[in-house]
Amino acid sequence: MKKQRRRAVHWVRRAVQLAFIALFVASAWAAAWPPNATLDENFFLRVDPLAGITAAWESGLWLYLLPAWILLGLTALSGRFFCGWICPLGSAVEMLPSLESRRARKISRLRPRDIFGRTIRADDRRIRLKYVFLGILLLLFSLGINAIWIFDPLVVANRAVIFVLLGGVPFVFIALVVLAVVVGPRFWCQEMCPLGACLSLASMAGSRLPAAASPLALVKDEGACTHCGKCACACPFGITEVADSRKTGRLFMADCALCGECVAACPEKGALSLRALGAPLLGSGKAREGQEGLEGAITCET
Amino acid sequence: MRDMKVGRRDFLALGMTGAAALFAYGLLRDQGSGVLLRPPGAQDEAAFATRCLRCGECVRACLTQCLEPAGKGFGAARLWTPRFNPALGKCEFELCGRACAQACPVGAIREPDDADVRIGTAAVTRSKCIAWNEGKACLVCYERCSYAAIEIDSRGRPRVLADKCTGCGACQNTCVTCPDPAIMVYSPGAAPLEGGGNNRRGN
Repeated sequence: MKKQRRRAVHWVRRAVQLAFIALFVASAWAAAWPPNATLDENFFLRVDPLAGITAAWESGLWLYLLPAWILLGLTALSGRFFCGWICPLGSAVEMLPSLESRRARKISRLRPRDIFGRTIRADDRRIRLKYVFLGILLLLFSLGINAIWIFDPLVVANRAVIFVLLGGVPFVFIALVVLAVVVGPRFWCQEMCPLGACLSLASMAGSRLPAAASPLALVKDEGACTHCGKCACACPFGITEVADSRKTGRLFMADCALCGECVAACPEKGALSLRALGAPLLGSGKAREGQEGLEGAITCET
Repeated sequence: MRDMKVGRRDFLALGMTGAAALFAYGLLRDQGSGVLLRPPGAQDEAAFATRCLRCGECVRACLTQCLEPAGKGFGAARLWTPRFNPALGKCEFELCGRACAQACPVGAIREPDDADVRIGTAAVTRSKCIAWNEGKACLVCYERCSYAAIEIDSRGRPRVLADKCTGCGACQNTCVTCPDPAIMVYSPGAAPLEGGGNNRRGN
């Protein structure tokens, strides 16, 4: 595969992700002594809707995790931006080198492919498994068995930092890292993560809102789209709907993490854009066809 | 060919979901056998095991670093829940502002009044205690106790007054027979009887 040109949004997002990882590690690592000089708690755990559900359900503390409900509300407005830009575990697994692309390249000739080189139906069905998984976890929790602690990404990441601090081994974190390297960077986020399932559900609830009401929205202009499929190829979350959809205006994608990779990959001017409250943040199609040899060389590998 | 591929990928994902469900079921069955001391406000063991997210915030927040994640010996259902280990430090629940409860993101650790705190109860194992066993003068636990929960008899031997003991662990933390302390904190209601009277039997 020839080198793809990474656009500014890619590096901006990497910088934001690294900043949040650093913030997360700092707030989880902050020594407890002296007491007045440190953060009281890791704020990331307070914005965790799964922890919010746990606290509200079992302890009746509805307002205890107000930030978590605020995150759910923002997700209803904007989609899973938390997963694409903030979640420290998601960022960590996304930045890992993955075996998937190389392996997938080898077998991609054997696998039946659509025009985007993807087995769309299989992907779509697998993506829904996370709701089943979340349902199982909540069912067990209602029976008094807490298994959420094993899989909640923020809890896993927090524990990983504290275990390293204590000289222990964060097994769950290592397992997820191995899973990411072997199966695919965002496999966990898209097909397993119970927090991601929560946020996807919230995102679905707000999907009918117009782009102007959304702090961060992906907007498509069907007229400018040539259905080349590069957006779907670039999507780290494996979403093909961005290419398939014939809609004009805000796209309804519960699993979209608003990462902007599709906008960066899109060669058509104005076909895709990221917007904040209706104002364009990032538009597609700066390169002209034929001018950039690298642009023409993008092929779908997975 | 297409069906085979799709089937295999689905099989992988379904298998993982099933394994997770089985793992969770295993958690239900494995309650462990060890007695676990909890931070103050988390003595309702069944409710706490359900509420706790095992995030480790209390472990990090504790000012005396007296908490540690519970290991395998306490059962998978309680794996990585906070364990109060007096060997690591005394619980300063009156001074620390209940740092563990403040840090807990799900409110699993409550904040009972200072007077109501009963982390556990200390008890002296007389066969290990140098005052009881060897007749030596040792008042360390008596001096360290902030709650006057240890009384010393006429021969200088300690005895715990269970109704005054909060289970803060100061006595165990400083007992001179460490690392195998003669006085230890046990879960509420689980402390062994110390034996009655002042009549020392045997040596």
